[in-house]
Amino acid sequence: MLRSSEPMTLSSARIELSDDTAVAEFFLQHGWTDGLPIVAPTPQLVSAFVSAVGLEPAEVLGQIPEQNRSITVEKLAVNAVMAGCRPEYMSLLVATVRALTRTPFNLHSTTVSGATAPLLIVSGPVVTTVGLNSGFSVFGPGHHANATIGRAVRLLLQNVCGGLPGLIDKSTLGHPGKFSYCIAESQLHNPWAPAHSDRGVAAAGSAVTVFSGEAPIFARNDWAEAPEPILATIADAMLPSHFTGGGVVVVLGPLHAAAMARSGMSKADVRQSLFQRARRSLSDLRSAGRVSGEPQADDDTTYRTVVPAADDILVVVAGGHLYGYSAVVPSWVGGHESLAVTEGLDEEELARCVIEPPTPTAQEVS
Amino acid sequence: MTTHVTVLDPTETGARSSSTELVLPPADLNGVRLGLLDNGKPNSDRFLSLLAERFSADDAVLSRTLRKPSIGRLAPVPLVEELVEACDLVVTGVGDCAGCCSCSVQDGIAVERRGVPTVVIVTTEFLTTARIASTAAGVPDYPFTVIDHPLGSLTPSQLAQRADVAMAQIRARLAAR
Repeated sequence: MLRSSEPMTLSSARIELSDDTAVAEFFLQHGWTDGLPIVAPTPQLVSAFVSAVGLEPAEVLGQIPEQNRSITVEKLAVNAVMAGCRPEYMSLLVATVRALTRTPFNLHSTTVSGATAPLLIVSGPVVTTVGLNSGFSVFGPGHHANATIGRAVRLLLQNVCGGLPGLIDKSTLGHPGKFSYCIAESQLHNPWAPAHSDRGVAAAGSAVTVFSGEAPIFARNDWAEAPEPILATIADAMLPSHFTGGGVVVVLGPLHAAAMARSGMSKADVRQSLFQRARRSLSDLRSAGRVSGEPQADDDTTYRTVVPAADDILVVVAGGHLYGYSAVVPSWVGGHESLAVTEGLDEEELARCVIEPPTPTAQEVS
Repeated sequence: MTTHVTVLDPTETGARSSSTELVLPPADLNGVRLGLLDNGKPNSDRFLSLLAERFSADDAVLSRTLRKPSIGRLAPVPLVEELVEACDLVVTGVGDCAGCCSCSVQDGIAVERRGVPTVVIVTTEFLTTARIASTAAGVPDYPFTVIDHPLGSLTPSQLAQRADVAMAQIRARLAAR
């Protein structure tokens, strides 16, 4: 039970309502939720969430210049409370907001335009200390940390970053990940160094990577022992990408990752192999109008890869270890205008992201 | 059951407390140096060029045609400053998507803040987005020039028609100043 913390100056407007039912209805009517019930963001709860990161409520974590908006610790805390988070998730959310508001991510355009949501990929020891699921049903429900951290980002995008569905966010289709889109990399099944170590954070550290992702496309190959047919299957699933530059996320299921590691492939080998396979001929691209100009004689033998370079393929290992599945997450249609950003957690942040005792995950319970 | 609950507003509107004053546009286009800031959306360049022809018919002089390096981001400051230096009236657009529209609005208001009047072109479907963006920039009543959505798939003759509609709105705005 949270105790009412020390008096804290919170600047958000206060709203007085009769009871919790009235709160739920008021927030729904104002378009402040994702459509699901929320936890009422009382000043007491918000204060406790702000205290959990040891920062001032007014501290600005990031800015959106295109909207003349800032994201403060307080607004993050209000939305995290609403999402049902625990206060121990706050430091991870602070790092996530830092990542989202770095210029290369292009938070403004990816929030209001096109069918993507920021996919959060958490890696390193924080996955365990905060109770994130990296195993069975990694994109699915059933895990408090994944569900509520992803949801906190969603509510923040709606309430602070201009992503109000239908009003400003006029995405044609949206996707289910726009409710919550938070996965963790498996430490148990990853045969290689963690994902963040490919992206500038020390291998022993913890990090969150944000990637503006469409819905995952699954690549099933349950029949192959050797890596080649599996890589061909995954490369097929990469083809619906937009061919506009930028990156692509490949979540290797544990069985697929093991098949590759067994054959001696490094993660760089995997990237290189996918890069060589995931390509379309110019004639294919031209038939869909993806490239302009007159057809050329060598269109059938000239190829374009889904991303500009092998290193633009972000390889993560996650998921259950019983079936041969991987997943591809294509990027935002703007391609090179939004890049994945990785943000490390410092020692203090890591120390704050500890749930004690550890919450048993559904798979441990069963 | 709680009988009384205090909760906090989760939103941040970004609205400026101080408003930005718009610069009075010229009453007469004769000799006015025109600047175009193309946001890079498909057909924006063609539309703006057709619009410039109509400005020329009213004796304005096309001084700069610049294209933003990125559709969904603000125009770099040097680009804005070049337009302000070389032009008496700047047209930005076309805001026909949520990401680009907010940015073209902010670009126009950045030019206004430096003392040069602007025309911001948006499509009907994104007028709400444009209004939210201009409110955030301190100009809640910005006089947008609005053309029918869509833009990207139009033929040359349809584009010319849209340019006529836009020019009629601009002439009416100048006459009413």
